[in-house]
Amino acid sequence: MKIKVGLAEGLLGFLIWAGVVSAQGIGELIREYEKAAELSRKTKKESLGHLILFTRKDLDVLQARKLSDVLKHIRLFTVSSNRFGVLGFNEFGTLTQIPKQVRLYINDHEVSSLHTGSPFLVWENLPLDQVEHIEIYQSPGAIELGNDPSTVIIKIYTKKPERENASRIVATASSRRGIEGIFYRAVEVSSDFSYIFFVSGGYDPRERFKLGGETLSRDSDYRYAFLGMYFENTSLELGYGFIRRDPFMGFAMDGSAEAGFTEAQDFYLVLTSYPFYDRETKIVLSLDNHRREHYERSDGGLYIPIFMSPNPLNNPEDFYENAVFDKADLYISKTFNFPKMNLLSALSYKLYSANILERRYRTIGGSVVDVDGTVPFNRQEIFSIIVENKLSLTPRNLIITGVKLDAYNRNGGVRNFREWIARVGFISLPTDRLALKTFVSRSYIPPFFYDIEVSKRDLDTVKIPISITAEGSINLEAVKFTLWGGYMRVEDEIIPDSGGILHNSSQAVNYRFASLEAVLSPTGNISLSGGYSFLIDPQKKESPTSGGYLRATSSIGPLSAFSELVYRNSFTYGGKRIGDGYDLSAGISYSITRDLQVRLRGENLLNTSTQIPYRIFQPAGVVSFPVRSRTVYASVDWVF
Amino acid sequence: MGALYFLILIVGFSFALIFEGRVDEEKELEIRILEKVFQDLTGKKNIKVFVIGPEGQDFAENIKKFSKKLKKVKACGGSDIVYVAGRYTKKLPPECRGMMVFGSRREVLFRYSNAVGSFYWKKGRPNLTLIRERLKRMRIRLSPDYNRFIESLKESHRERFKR
Repeated sequence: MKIKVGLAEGLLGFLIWAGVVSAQGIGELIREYEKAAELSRKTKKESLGHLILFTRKDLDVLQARKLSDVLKHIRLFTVSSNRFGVLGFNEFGTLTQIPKQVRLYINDHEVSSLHTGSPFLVWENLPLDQVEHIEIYQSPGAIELGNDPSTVIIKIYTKKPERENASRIVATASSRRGIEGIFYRAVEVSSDFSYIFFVSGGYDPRERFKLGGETLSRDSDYRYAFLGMYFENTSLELGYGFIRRDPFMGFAMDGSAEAGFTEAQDFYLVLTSYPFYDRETKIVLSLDNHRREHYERSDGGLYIPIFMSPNPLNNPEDFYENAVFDKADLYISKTFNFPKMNLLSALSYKLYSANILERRYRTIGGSVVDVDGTVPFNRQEIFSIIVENKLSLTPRNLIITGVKLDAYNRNGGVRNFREWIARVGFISLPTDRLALKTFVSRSYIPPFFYDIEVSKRDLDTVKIPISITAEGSINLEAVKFTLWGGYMRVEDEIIPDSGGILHNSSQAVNYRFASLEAVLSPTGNISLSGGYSFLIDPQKKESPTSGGYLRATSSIGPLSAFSELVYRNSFTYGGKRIGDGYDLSAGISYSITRDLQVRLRGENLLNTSTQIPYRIFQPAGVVSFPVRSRTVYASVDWVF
Repeated sequence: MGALYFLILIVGFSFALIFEGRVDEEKELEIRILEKVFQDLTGKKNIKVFVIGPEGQDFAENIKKFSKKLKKVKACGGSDIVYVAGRYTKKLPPECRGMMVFGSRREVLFRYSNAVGSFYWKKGRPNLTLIRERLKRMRIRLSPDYNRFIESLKESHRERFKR
């Protein structure tokens, strides 16, 4: 039997295809067709790393409403919330305020912050109802997308209009008096034009905590809109996201900002064109605009490392910032397709610019200090050359090789530099039931505008001189086991020094990790799965170093239900012990008619999920809070 | 930089190798489904299909590639079934009058009075819909396997069709 080698996506699809030939009944044929036509089979790119896939069915059964619902059980990571209440995604053992190694894509466009590199400031609450499927790739060194360097890539795909031909309204209310409304319409207008339009808005209140007599709030208002117009060889996508959030702890010395807000807004436009009939040449032009306004005040003073003075009266009491960031990105690729080989060559040009409209603080002594840009660096160009080859050595063995060369031109006296990413991957299917995948990579993570601004000094790139990951899976009809593990060395990490100012660490960190996952599907309607991942001999223990999950899903007639327990182990941070975390979620949905469904979903039902530690300076200590406390959501979903 | 040169060498070396062709299981399965439905609708093993619509050329290529039972014919008069491929809003040629029609979009059911069924995507899922009244009118009897795919035209759809 020949297998699809349309490149990397083809090899693993083979297993699904193997069972098709004997299908006879019309119902069975349609089921097989639906499986073969799954969009993830067309979109997934094996070269990007080790894939965790959430199909449309998974998202429906799990009632996944927002990104954290799918991220919280991802192996080797813990979902967190930073001092400003923004979602974080920490590698086991680490506790970072900004997960800048994570790249988030909506279709083919990266929406990570132009300022900090984190994707979650604006997009944390993006509803997933308009999402067709989510692919999460782990492993450093992915280059195919022309993306900024990463160790995790999250790809969200919106629903395909030609497969929907429907409109949908979803209304949700939560036990914490949160509300959310979603509308989308996805329609094929003619054979060469289709569109999807999506708009949503909501209010997301979370549990408020008391600290030193003050109330901590990270409630947020948010809204999102998306328009995708798809022509035969061209597409245009417009995206918009806005969030306004209470300050939570902010920079406050005592851990509680008494007043303040963060408003952030993203707008982007992506034009994609395949100028030739063979669709082997692709041109993508995108423009991004990111605005952020932040204000906070604390009578006890704010701890913003670069503004701190030996004289306490000169330290900030309130802080205001209004900044605009822009990005223009041109990506041109040409794919050379041979029957069993695919060579991608691409050029990419990115222009980042930062414009600080206003940045000032008022000191405890009462004087106002205008700081504007803390460094003159506000413009960066990145030229990239990408070459990646996917080659089927035999019908069951695929080798991936790729190189990306990046040249950074930066103004304001920070140095220009060149960096490179390289990767070799191997995918093999020794038998129909066994799959092996391994990557050896060299990569780096660049400093972002934010890192240089808040350190007031040039920073070197974070180096990942070597990363080796391997995955093996065995599929025994009703049971599938996956074993994954690897080693990654990180040098020149950007971390805060004792005064809180970022610098490149001189100490290398070695990560050795492993995970095991099992999925049991005794019938088509019931699925049990579980996984456990851990660091081997961790050097850093500032967050959980091991964790796992257990999940059960079932669909019987109009009823569908799930329950999931996510575990993260105990750890100690700044002398405070954080106990084991158990996050229990469960949900049930009932289809009243084919078009109308009601859903009930609860998260952190035991109120025992892992706690996130926060350091406070006055009085010195560590406090901890969960990302989300017990919340129940009720939704009505109407498709028409 | 030694590792980099090594990688470039591998990329270059890769060009020298030769590969096999590819199959497209999604398209093949779609044709297998249509082949089975057309056989059961017409009661024939080998079916002559008159193809019309913007996706007609793709369909014709696919049946040539994946089916030995379906054959595209140039004249509507000599066909067993008319297949409307893609979103098509025009009237069918006069010689197709009275012919059994099948489509790849749901709208076909409302546009053509002889449309017995359609295999289309809606709400993210593939759907097979066969119209009870029209099957009856054309004296088509299908096995119980098809029962869950057979629907009556709703009143609103009838009105829409009459307009």
